[in-house]
Amino acid sequence: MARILIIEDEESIREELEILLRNAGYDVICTENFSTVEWDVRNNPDLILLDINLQEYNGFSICTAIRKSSKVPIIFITGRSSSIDELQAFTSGGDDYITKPYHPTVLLARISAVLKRTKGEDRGGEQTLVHKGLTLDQRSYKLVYRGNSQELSKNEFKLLHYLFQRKGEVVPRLDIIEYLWDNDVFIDDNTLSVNVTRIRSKLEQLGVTDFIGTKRGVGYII
Amino acid sequence: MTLGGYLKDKIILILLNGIGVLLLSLYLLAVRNNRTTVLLIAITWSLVYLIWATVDYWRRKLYFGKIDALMKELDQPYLVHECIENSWRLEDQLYREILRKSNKAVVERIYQLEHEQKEYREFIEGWIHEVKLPITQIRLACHNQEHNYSRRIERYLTELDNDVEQALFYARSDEVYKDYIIKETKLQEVVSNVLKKNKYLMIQNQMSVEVECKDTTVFSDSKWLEFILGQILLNAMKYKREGGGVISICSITMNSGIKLTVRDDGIGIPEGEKNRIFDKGFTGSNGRSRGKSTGIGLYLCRKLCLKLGLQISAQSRLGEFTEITLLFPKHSFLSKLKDG
Repeated sequence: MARILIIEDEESIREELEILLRNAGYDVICTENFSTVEWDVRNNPDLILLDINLQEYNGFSICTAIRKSSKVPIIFITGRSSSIDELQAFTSGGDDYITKPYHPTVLLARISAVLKRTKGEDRGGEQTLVHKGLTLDQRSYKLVYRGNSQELSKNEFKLLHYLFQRKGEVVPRLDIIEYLWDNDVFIDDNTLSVNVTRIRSKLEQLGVTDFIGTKRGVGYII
Repeated sequence: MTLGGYLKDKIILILLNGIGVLLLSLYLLAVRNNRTTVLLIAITWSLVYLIWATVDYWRRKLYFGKIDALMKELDQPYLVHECIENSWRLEDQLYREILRKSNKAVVERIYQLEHEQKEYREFIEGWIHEVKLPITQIRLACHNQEHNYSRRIERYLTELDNDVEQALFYARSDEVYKDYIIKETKLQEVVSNVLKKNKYLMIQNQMSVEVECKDTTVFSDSKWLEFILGQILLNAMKYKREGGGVISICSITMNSGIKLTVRDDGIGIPEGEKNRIFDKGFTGSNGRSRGKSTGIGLYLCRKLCLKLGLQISAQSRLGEFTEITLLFPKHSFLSKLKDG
């Protein structure tokens, strides 16, 4: 489990961030005393979220100070969105830069990208997902059942991938659509139904029926 | 200065001289002078006056001509009094002094207004950065709280965020040069960022978007580009037809540059209004019927495009579609750099 250090002076944001990151499966440390940040860094966090505008301190100088002793990845968070700040964030040793008001999903995506880049960590490690004898191959975008396979389009693959992640529960349609938008598939409700129908017909060709169940007015379940 | 104007100005002097010549001639004739002598005197008088008037006319014309030329050359014409050459005429000197005093007052006023405007802009920018904090707080709180209402709040929040963003970019639009980083930018990434940012708003308005940008890159500033695209997409959403809408975004590489088109299947723009959609404050019949139009979005888009060196244009058919095109002209210098 990756450990994240939050350096943020606004208490409410710090608390909400803590909840967000804990829910996403990270170990979180917070600091309220910005003069001893270096001590916190000795706690070996895997990543630091650093606010630029701290009351008495400046995020850039903290970053420079941390960089003297550590190579821990740092993501800057700021309310200001000027190009100068962005440049300074990178020149003072930051790994990424994100402006308020950020979307929580975007923040999580950036965190996991930076972690992946710096630690080579792969959180979704498995290459294949299996459910009820049906295999979803993440490398070739293929569905495999008893030795037969069907190719999936990008949209179909992402949709199924999400359902596989939440197998056994009814996934609301809106959840699916929002997940797809987060993953660069920008479809509406009707197109979702069309995609599910296409997947079902591909499943039928493989000899699988009733794999995706419909809860009317709610969503889908596998 | 025209000859007619000059003559009109000197009419009394001319009349006086005329009457003078006439009266003198009558008097000279009355005291039995030779007609030839009288005619000679009258002609000499007129000639002297004519020569003087011609010289005077030329000199005046030259004098004002120079001032006119100065006005055109000066970047701030109200500073002209500093450059007018000295004149021996009392009238010129007096007017110059008046001009100097009056313009000094204008300059002071301008300075004061500029100062006030700068302060106001700084306040607005500061305020916007302040207000982003609570928006972030609400957004995080919504995300952490699984509740049916969270989605609606997030949608309203996106609307609020967009309005705040518009104010920020409006405040900054005069000083774009202070705040941009031109670098190689992937269009796909820019589009994707904008769509994700407006996810809740777009999904709840039943919009779907097809993006076809492949690996096209342009040299531009992603932050400003995202804002411009955001405005265009929000317009497409605002002016959709009943039910949902489909937006297709694609990039085309041409000899002259790269074209990015955003096409929707919305209500379109009436023929007579097409030319004015980029004007400040123009809301059009669509804007009036749907409300919530400020006439600022596309105006800002065009203004920022100009500053970033992009061309923006619109095509539309009423009741069928609207297509906004951004053209990134190919810059020979940058392309050469890229090709090595």
